[in-house]
Amino acid sequence: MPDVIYVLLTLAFFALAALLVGLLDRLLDRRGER
Amino acid sequence: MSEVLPAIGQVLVLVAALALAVPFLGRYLAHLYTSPRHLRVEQVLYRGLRVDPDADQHWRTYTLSVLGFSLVSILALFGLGRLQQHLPLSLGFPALPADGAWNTAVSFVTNTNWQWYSGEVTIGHLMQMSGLTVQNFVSAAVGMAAAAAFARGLASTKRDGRVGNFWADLVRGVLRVLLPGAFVSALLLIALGAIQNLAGTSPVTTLSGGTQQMTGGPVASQEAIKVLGTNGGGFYNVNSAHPFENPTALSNLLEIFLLLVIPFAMAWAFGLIVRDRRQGIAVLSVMALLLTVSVGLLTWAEMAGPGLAPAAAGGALEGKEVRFGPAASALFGAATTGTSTGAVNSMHDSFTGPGGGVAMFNMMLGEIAPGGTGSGLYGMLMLAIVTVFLCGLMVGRTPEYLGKKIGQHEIVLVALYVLATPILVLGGAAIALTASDGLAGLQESGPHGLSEAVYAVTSAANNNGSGFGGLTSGTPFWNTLLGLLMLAGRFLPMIFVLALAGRFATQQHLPPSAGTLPTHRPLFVALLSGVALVVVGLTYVPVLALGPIVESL
Amino acid sequence: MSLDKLDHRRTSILEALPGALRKLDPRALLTTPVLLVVEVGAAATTVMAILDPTTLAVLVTVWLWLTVLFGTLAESVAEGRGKAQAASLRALQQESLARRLRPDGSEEEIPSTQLRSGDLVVVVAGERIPGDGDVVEGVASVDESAVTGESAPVIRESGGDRCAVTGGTVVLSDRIVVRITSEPGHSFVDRMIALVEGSERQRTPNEIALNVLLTALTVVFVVVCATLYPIADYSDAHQSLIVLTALLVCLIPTTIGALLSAIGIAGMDRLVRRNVLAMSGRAVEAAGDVDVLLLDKTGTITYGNRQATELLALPGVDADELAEAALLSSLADETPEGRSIATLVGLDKLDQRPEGGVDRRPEGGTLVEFSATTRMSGLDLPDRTIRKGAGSAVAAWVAGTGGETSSELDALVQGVSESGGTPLVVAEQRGAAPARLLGVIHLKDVVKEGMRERFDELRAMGIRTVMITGDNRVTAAAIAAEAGVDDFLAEATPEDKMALIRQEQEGGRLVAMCGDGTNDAPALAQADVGVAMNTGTTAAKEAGNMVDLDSDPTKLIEIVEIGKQLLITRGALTTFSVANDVAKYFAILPAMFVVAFPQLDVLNVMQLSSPESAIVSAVVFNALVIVALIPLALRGVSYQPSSATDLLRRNLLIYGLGGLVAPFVGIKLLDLVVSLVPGL
Repeated sequence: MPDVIYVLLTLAFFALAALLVGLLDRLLDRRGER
Repeated sequence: MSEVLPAIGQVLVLVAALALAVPFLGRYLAHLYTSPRHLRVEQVLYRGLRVDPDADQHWRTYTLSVLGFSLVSILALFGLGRLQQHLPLSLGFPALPADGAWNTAVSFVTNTNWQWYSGEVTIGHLMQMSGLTVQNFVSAAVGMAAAAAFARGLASTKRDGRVGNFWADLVRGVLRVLLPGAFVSALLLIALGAIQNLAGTSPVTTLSGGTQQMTGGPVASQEAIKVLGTNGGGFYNVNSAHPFENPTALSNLLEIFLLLVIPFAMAWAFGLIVRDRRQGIAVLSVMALLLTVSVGLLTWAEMAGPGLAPAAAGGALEGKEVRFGPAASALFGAATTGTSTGAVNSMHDSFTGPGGGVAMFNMMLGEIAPGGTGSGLYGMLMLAIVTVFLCGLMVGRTPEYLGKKIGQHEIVLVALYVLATPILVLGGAAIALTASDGLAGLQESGPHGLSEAVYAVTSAANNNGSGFGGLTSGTPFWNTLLGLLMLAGRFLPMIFVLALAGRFATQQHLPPSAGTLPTHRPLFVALLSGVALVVVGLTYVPVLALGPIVESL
Repeated sequence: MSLDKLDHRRTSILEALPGALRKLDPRALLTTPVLLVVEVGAAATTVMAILDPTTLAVLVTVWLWLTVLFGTLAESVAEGRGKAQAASLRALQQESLARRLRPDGSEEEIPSTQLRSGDLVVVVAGERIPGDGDVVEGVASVDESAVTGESAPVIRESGGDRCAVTGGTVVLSDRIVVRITSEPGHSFVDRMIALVEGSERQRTPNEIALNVLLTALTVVFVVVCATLYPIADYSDAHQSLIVLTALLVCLIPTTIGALLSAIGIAGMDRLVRRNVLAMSGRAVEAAGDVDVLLLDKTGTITYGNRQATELLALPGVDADELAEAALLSSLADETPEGRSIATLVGLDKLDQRPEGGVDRRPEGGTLVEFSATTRMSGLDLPDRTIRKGAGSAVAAWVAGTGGETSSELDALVQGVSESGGTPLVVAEQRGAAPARLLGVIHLKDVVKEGMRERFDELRAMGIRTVMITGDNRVTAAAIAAEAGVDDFLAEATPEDKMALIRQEQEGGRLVAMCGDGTNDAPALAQADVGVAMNTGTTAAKEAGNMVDLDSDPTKLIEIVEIGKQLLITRGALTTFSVANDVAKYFAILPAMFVVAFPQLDVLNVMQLSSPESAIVSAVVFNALVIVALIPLALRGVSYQPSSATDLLRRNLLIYGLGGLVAPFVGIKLLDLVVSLVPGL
C-alpha cells in the first residue's frame, strides 16, 4: 500500500507542476505593454 | 604553521587548474548548446526516442519535457529500488522500504543525492549502475539544460518565446560533456588508487586482527560522475572520506577540481551565449568571490577554530580523515556546499560551530558559489536580476538585464523563485522541529540538534544532499519530508527559471547605452555579492543565530 | 528654514490627516500589501495589549498603528499638493450660458454643460469659451492664463495650427465660432483636475513591478517570523507574539512600501509644477527610459529666426560701404532678419563713424519689397539702386546691368552656406553705370545658449539627440555640429519623422519628441513620449501623452530628467529600506534570544540598554524614518545628469551605505530616550 501512496504523491506533484506551467503560460501570454 | 603552506598551496593549484580549464570548457559548452549539428550517434538516439531535436521548443513545451522526463525517471528508480531482491547483481540485498526507495528515487533525479542509507550495504550493483549512476548523468544534464535554455532566452531576439530543445540539450550534455569527462576522470581516479570492480562483499582481516566486510564495486566510475555532475551520492556511506573513493590528497584535490569545473564553465559559456563574454566573467567573479570567502572562513574555522574540544585536542580533527587534515577537509566542505554536490570527505556535523555555519550558509545562498551544474548559474542570474531591480532604478531607468526589461511579469517570476526555497527550508525546519517523528531523528538537543535539522532541510531543499551527520533520517517521516523538499526545491525554481527564459525570449533586445546600468563592472560584481549576502542573510539569520552562531560563541 | 515655511508644512500635514485616517480602511490598503501586513500586525498586538497590557505591548501597539498612519499620511500629503490647483481649475467649470448656432444660422442659448461634440457656438469679446474646440471662423485674442498661468493673451484663428481653444478661457477681442470637440465631463480641464488631484492615478508598470518584489520580500519575512515561533520554542527561547510582530514589521520594507505611491504622485506633481500635464504616469516612467530625443531645430535648438552675424566685403570694397548699403537695403525689411541686419550694422560699423551715421530716412527713396519671383529686396534712390537677395538672383541682376560677376563672391557664398548660414548678396548701381557687387551678409540660425552643454549632459546619460529640420543637408549638418547634437534629419517631412521613430523603436529604443501641428499627430502618437504644445492643434494634443502648457519645446529635456528622478527616488528608497534591516536584526535578535542564550549578547553591538528597550527603539525608528523621508519622497532625490556608473556609485554610497549605517545611529539614540520609560 505505501507504494501506491508514494506513486500517487509523485504523480500529484508533477500534475500540480504541470498545472503551474499552464498557469504561468497564460499569465505571460497576456501581452500588451511594450 | 606547517599546516598553512600546504593549505595555501592546494588552493593555488586548484585556482591554476580551474583558470586553465574553465575558458576552454566554457567555450565548448557554449558551442554545444547553440550548435545546430548533431552527432551520428545522437541522431540514432533521437530516432529511437522519436523526438525531433531540431524543434525549437516554446518554454512551456521545454518545461513539460523536463517534468515528464523527471517523472518517468523517478518512477523507474522507485521500481528498481522496490524490486531489488528480484533483480540480478543485487548482492543479496533486500528491497528498499517504500519510503526509502521513494526518497532515493527523488534524491537522485533531483541531483540532490541525499542518502539516508549506507550505500555499500543497501544498494546492489544493478540499481547503483543502471539507476543511480544513470541519474547522476542525466540529472546533471537536466540542470545544465535549464541553464542553457535560460541563457538562450536572454540572448534571443526572435520574440517567439522559444528557448531551444530539451532533448538535444539533455543528450548533448550527457554524451558530449559528462560521459567523456567522467571517463577520463575515472581513469585518473583509478590511477590515483580508487577501486573499480564488480566484486561483492568480501571479508578482510584488519590490522588489529578483527574481520571486516568490505564491499567492492564500480567505485571510481561512480565517483567521477558523482563529483563532475555535482551529485554527491557516494558509493560508500562515508562518501569521499572512504579510501576506496578518495584515496590520497591528490585525488582529493582532483575531486574538488571536478566539482567546480562545470559550474564555473557554465558561467563562462553563459557570457558567450549572450554574446558578451564580460557578462559571463562578471557572474563567474561573483561565484569565485563568494567561494573564496567561504573557503577562507571555513579553513580558518577548522584550523584555528573556537570550541572546547578542538582546543583540548590541539585541532578540530574529529570527524575528519587524517589523510586530508583540516585544510583539505575545509576546502572540500566549502566546495561541496558551494556547489550542489553534497559529497563529503569529512563529517560536517563535527565541523566547528562557525565551520558548520559557513557550510550551511553556502547552501542557503541557493548554491550559487558556484552552484550545481546549471542550477548554480541560473540561481546566480536570478539574484543578478534581483540586484538589477533593487539597485538598477538608482541610475534613473526602469531595470533591465542584458537588454531585457524587468517588468511586472518578469519580477513576478523572479519573486516566486526567490520565495520558493526559503519557504521550503524554514517551513521544513518548523515542521521537523515540531513533529515528534522529526525530533526523534535528532541525535542531540539544543543548538546542535537545531543545526542537524536545519542542515538537513536546507540540504534537501537546495538539492545539495550533504548530510550533517548525527541525524537518523532513514525514517518514513524524514524520508517523506526531505523527499518533498527535494522535489519542490528542484522543480519549482526550475519552472520559474524556464518561464522567465520564455518571457525574455518574447522580448525585443534593447541596445545598451551610457544610461544603462553596466552589469559587467567590478561595481556590479560587488553589488551582486552584497545583495546575495544581505537578502539570504536577512532570511536565515534568526535560524542561524539559534544554531551555528550560538554554537560558535 | 523660515518659520513661515515650517508653519505651512504643519498645516499641510494637518490638512492631510483626515485623508490619511480614511486610508486606514484595510480595503484601501489592499494595493499596498506591506502596509496591510503592518495593519494586521497592529490589530493583533492591540488584542494582545488589551489582554495583557505590559508596557512593551502597549508601546509596540501604539507605534505599529503610527507606522501605518505615517504610511497613509505620506500618500495623503502628496495628494494634498494637487488639491489647491484642482480647486482653481474647478472655478473654470462654472456653468455658463453658451450661444449655440442652429443649422439655419440663428443663435440659441443653452447651458454650457449641455454642449455636445460637434456643436457650433459663438463667442465674442469678454465671454468665456464654453468648451474645448476648434475655431472654425474668425480670429480672436484669448486669455488662457487660467490654464497656462501665462498672462499674455494668445491669438487663436480658424484653420492652421492655432485653432484649438480650451474651455474656460476668455476671449478678449473679436468674435469667433468654435466647434466643440469634447463631451461634457471629458474636457481638457476635467482631465487636468483628475490628474492634479491624483484621483485618476493608475499605478505605473514599474511601480507595480516594484510592489510585487516588495510583496515577495514581505512574504519571505512573514515566513521567517512565523517559522521562528516553533523553531525558537525548540530552542527553549519562547517568543511572545508581540515581539515576533515587532520583528516582522521592522523587517518588511515599510519605508519604501509606505512612500511608493507618494513618490509617484509627487513625480506627476513636479511635472504639473513645470506646467506639463502627463496624461498617464506610464509616460513619465517612459521619459526616464528615453534613448532618443527628437528635437525640432527651430525654436528648440535655435532661436527660430535667422540673424545677421557678419558682413563679408568683396576685395576692393570698403567695409563701411557694404555696411551702409546693407543697412539701406534693409530699411524696408520689417522681418526679423531685416531688423537683425540693421542691428548688426548699427552696432558694428555705423556707431564708430564720427558723424551721426547714415541718414536713416533717405529722402525720395522707394522701397522694393521682397518677392518670390525676383528673390531680391532693396531700395531705389534717385541716383542709387541697392539690391540684396539670393546670390544667383543678385548676380543675374548685376549681369543684366552690364556689371561683372566675380568668382570671389562665389567663394564667399559657398563658405557661408557650408557653415550653416544663409548668404545674402548685396549689390548697388550708381546712376546708369553697371551695377557692382559689394559683398555678402551672413545670416545665421543662432543656436540658443547652453544647448551644447545640455546635449553633452544628455549624451552622458546615454540619450541620443536628433535634430529635425526642413533645411537642406549642408545647413542642417553645420547647425547640428554647432549645437552638438548627435544626429540630424534634414529636409524632414512628417513622414520622414514617423519613419525615423519607427526605425528607432524597432531597434529597441524609446523615442521622445514634441510637436504642435496636426501633421505631427501621427508621430506624437507613435513616439513613446510625445509632448504636445498647448498652442498646438487639438489633434496634436490628443495624440501626445503629455501637454506642455508653456509650449516650450526645450522642456522635453526637463521631462526626461523628472522621469529619471522619479525612478531614482524609488530605487534609492528601496535600497535604503532593505539596507536598514541589517541594523534592525542587530537590535532585535539579541533582544529576543539573550535570555535563553546569554552568549548572543555579543551581537548587541549597539549596547542597547534592555531587550524591551531595543525592540521598542527599533519599532519607533522604523516608524519615524517614514516621516523623515516624506519630504525626500515628495521632492525627489537630487539628480545631476551623469553616466549610469556615476549615478549608481553616488546613490549607492548615500542610500545603500547610509541605509546600513543610519539605523545603527538612530536606534542607539532612540534607545537612550526609550530606556527612560518606566517599565522597560
